[in-house]
Amino acid sequence: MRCARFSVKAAQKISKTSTPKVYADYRKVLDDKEVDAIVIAVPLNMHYAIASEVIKSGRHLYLEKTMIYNIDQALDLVKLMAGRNKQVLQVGHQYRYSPLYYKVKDYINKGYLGKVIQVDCRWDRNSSWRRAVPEPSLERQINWRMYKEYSGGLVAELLSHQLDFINWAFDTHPTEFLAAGDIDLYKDGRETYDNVQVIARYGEQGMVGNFGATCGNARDGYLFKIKGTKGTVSLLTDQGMFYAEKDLLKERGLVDGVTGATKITWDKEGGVPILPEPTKDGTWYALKDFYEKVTTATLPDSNIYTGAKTAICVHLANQALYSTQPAYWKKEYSSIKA
Amino acid sequence: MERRAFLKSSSVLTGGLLTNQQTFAAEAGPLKVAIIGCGDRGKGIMYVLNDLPNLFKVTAVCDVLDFR
Repeated sequence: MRCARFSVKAAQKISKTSTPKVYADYRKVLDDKEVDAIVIAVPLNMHYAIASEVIKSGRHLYLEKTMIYNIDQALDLVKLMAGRNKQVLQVGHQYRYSPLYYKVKDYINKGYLGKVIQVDCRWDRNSSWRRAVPEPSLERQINWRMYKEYSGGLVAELLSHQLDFINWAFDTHPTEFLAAGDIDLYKDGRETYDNVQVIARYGEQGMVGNFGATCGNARDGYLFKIKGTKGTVSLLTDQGMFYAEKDLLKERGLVDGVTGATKITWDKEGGVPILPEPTKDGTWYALKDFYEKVTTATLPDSNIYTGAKTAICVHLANQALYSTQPAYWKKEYSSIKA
Repeated sequence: MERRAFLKSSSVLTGGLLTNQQTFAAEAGPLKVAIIGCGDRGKGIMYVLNDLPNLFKVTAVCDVLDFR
């Protein structure tokens, strides 16, 4: 059939050991007694309505990132989860669940990078970011990321992961956002920008974060560099390198302490791998941990509070982007904590 | 506070926990999961869930796009 690729029937066939029931209306899922936990992976503007009802139904929830579409919804969802200590809500920032990202958080917290001063992030491609549409009437449903009504564009879909990691690793949030961008290449009816750059000022930490994404150059692809006075961490999603600053290189013992290696092999640029081998896809670690948190009734690392903070950051970054005015973190957002 | 949070999260990566998980799975059985939204991401998650049959069983899938 024409829309096989997008059909729920195609999803049903993915299961090898069982045949899942098929529903068109999510409310029917909530009536199904054979459901302990729910994964929500719908367009961003629909997260709030569905997530609210799932939470009220008492089900555990794996809610795709970005957690929620706007700031009011973020604050509301935090309220709705209050007191539900045995119900797990995990937000799908999966990359930071890999052992690599935990290790980098450890490096940061132990001071191996010195004082972190700059963060550089990119998530670039050289293509339209569009999906093929089997018939024109499905355009807005399939290419929902192109429309402001449904999506926060490149910032929400891509840069949110790196914004979220920095918030979590440093237990902080940006205090101010500046941004620039436009629809510079694909004037195809889209509304979300295809070329964006966000500067985040981290007032509490004394750091500057640079978050960029474009649809017009793929050279950097995914880039994530965390730069401190003692060293730099350079990350892909599944592997990473540590580069010591010159002063640290002289203190060999300290470097040994950082890497835990008995024999250090520097690559030609003077870096050491953070882990010996690439990790699996972050989703694998994230879902294993979701199970663990459900069975032990504990708060996930990517939770309602960190998810709400990151959703607010995405919204403020987009506000700065579309208004070309700075956007500021408000004190009331800081009340979001466990 | 940060350090405590880290210690808590780093325990996730230690080997002991995996054994605990298997025990839980054996006792409690896999978690019954419904997927709401079966686009590329929803289906991608399903593939990972299917790779963890001791932990998860997908019992329902939901999407508006097959019923117009």
